[in-house]
Amino acid sequence: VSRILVIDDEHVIRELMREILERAGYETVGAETPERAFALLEEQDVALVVSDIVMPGLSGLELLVEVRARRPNLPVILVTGAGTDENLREASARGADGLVIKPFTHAELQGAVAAALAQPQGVMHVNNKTTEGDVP
Amino acid sequence: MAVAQSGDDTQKVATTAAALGSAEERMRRTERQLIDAALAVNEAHTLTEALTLLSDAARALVGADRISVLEWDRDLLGASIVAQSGGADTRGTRVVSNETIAALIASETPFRAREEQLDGLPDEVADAVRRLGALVCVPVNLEGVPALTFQASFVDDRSEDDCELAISKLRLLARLTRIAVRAEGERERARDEARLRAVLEAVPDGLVVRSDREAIVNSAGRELLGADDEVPERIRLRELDGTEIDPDQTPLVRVRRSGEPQSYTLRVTRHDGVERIHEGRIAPVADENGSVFATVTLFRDVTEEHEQRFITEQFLERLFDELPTAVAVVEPCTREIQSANRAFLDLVGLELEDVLGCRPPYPWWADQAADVPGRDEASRWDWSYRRADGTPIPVEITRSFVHSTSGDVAALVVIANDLSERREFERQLIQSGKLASIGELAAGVAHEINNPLFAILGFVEFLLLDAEPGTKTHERLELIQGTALEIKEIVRALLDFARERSDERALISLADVASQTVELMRRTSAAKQVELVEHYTDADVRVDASANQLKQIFVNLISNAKAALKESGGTITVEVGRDSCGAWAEVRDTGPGIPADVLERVFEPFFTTRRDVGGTGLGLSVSLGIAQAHGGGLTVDSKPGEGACFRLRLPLPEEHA
Repeated sequence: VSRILVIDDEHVIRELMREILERAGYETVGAETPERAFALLEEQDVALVVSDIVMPGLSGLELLVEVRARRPNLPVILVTGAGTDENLREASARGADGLVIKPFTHAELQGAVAAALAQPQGVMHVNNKTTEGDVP
Repeated sequence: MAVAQSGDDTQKVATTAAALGSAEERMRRTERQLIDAALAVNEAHTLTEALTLLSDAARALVGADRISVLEWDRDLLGASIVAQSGGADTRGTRVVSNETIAALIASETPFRAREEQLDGLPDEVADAVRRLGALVCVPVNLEGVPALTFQASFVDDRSEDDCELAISKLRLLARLTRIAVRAEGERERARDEARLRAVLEAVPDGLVVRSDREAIVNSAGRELLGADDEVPERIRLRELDGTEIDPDQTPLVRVRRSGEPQSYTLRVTRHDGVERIHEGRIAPVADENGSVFATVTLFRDVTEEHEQRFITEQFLERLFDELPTAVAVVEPCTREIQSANRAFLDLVGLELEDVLGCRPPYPWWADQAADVPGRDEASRWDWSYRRADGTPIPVEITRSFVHSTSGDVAALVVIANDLSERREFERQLIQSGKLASIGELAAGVAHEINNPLFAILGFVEFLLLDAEPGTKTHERLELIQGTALEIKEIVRALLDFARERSDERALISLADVASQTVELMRRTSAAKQVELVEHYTDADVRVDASANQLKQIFVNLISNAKAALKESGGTITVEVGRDSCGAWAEVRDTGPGIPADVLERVFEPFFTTRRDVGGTGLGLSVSLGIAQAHGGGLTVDSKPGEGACFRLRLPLPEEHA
C-alpha cells in the first residue's frame, strides 16, 4: 500500500484530503509545514506527495523543487485554489506530476494520484485532463 | 520827330543829341551782339529771363541809361519795357494806363507823346514823359501768347532818320523776340506736357484722365486694364458678388452726375478678358463755372489682397463655425448674443435665429432664475445648460474679452465646454476601474473561496456516500453540493474573465472569448426565462485582438439582448464562425426587435432607450469603436417582432486570411 504525504497548512483541508485518499485505499501521513514534511520524508517510506501551493513560508512550488532535490523520482501532486495560468505554468515548469484545482471531487484527486503513481514522470495531470510537456 | 522844347533846354538837348549820336554809334557797333542777345532769348528758360535779355538789348539799342521791366500783365498787355534816360526814375509806377497802352497798340504806329495823351497819367509820370520828349510803343502781338508791348522812351531832338532807324531796330528786336517767345512758349508747352506725362507715368497706380475729347492713361493703368494702347472703350464692371452694374450707375457716371468724388471696389473684366478686382477713386475736374469737364481716376489691382482677405475671412468664419467647441460671441454690456457657432447651436439644440439677440437669462440656462456667479470677475465656472428637450447639460464656461486695437472691449467670447462626455468618461473610467478591480480581486480571493468551498464539497461528498439515496437528507445534500458547485463556477468564470486584463492584442480564439463571456453572464446576471445558447460552428477561429475589449463587446451585446428579453423571455444565441470575409460572431435574441427609427441610431453615442434604468447609450458606440479599431465592424439587423441580430466582424490574421 502506497503511503502518501499530504501537506497543507489548513487542518480541515489536510484531513479532508487524507480521508479522500484513505477511502481510495492509500495510507496517508499529514504535514502542516514543509519542515515537518521533509522530516517525514526522511523518516517514512513515502510513495507520493500531495501539497497545497499557497502556504505560509515555503510555497508548494518551492517545496516541489526541494523534494525533487531530495527524492528525484518521488511523484508530487500540487493542489491549488487558484487555477491561474501562472500556477499551471509554474507547476508544469517545475515538473509537478499533477495539478488539482480546488474545489475538486474525490474522484478527481484520487484519479490524479493513481495516474501519477502509474505513469512515468513528465506527464502532468490536471483535474482529469492530461497536459503533455509545456502548457500553452 | 521832335517834340517842342523851350529855349532853356536847348543846351541840354544838344548835349543829349551828342550823347545819342555816340549811343547810335555804339549801337551800330554792337548790332551783331544785339541780334545775338535777341537770339539768346531762345535759350531763355523763363519769360523774366527773356525780358531781362530783351531789356538789356533794348538798352543797348536805344542808348537809354536805364531800362526797367515795370510789369508783366498776362491778362492785359504784358510787359512794359520803359527805357529811360535823363535821370528820371519812374520805376515802381505805372507809366501809362492800360487803356492808353491799348490805344497805342490799336494805332500800331509809333507816336510821340502829345499833351492830351498825357492826360490821366500821374503828374510825375507825365512830367517825365514830357521831359524825355518821346514815347515809342511797339505793340507785339503774338499768337496764343500774351502780347508784349515795348515802350521805349528816349530823348528828343533826333532826326527823323534816327527815329526810323531806332524804330526799325526795335521792330527787328520785336520780331526776334516774337520768334523767341513763340519758341519759348511752344517749348514750355511741350515741356509742361512732358512733365505732366512724366508725373502721370511716375504715379505707381493706374491713372486715367478723361475729358470729353480724350482719355489719357498712364502705363500702369494700361497694364491694369490689360490694354495695349488706348483706354478701352467699354469695360465690364460687376459688384464683388458678381452682380452686373447698370451702365447708368457706374462710378464714373455718378461722378459726372454729382460732381462728387467716388470710391469703388469692383470686379473688372479687363480688355484682354482677364477678370480682376480693382479699387479706385474718381475725382471730378471742374472749370471756373463749376461744370465738370474731366475726371481723374486713380486705381489699383486689389485682387490678391482681396482674395487673401476673403480667404482669411472665410477661413476664420469656417474655423469659428466648425470648431468642435461651442462658442458664442456676446455683446459685452447687454450680453446679447451676437454670434454662435454650429457646436454651440448643437449643444443647446437651437437654430441661429433662435439664439441671436437673446439676453440673459438665456433660454438654454437650466436655471432661469440664476445669474452667472461673479460675472464681472470670473473667467471660468461650471454651469448648467439644457437642451431644447429639457435634458440638462453640465458645461464649463470659459469667458474671455476680445479687445479692439484701441484697447476697448469689443466683444465677449463665451466658450461652453460640454462636460457630459467628460462626466460619462469619468463614469466609464470608474466602471472599467471596477472591472479591473474585480479581476484582481477574483484572482486574489479565488484561493480563499475555493479552500472552504472544497471543504464543503469534499465533506458533502462523504455525506452523500453515507446517505441513503432517495432520502430527504440525500436530496438536501445534493442541493448543497449543487449550490456550492455554482459558487465554484462563478469563481471560475470571474477568473477566466479577468485572466487577460490588458488591452494588448494577441492571437486569441474568438469562441473562447465568447464562451467565457457567456459563462460569466450566465453566472452573474441570471435572468429568468432567458436561455443562453452557444453555437460555435468553427471553434478554432483565431483573431488578432484584445480579449478584454472583445469581451466588452460581448458583454454589451448580451446585456442588450437580455434587456430586450426582459419582458417576454426567450433565447439568446451566441454564434462564432468564419467565412470568406473573415471571422464573425453573432448575438441574436428572440425579443421584440428594434423599431426602424431606433435602429438607425443605435450606434450613436449617448443614444439610449433605457435612460430611465441607467442606460448610458455608450455600450454599442463603444463596441462599434472597438470593432473598428480592430479593423472590423459591427452591424445590426432587426425587424419589429423578429428579434435583433448583432454581427461582429473581425479580419483574420494574415496567415489565416
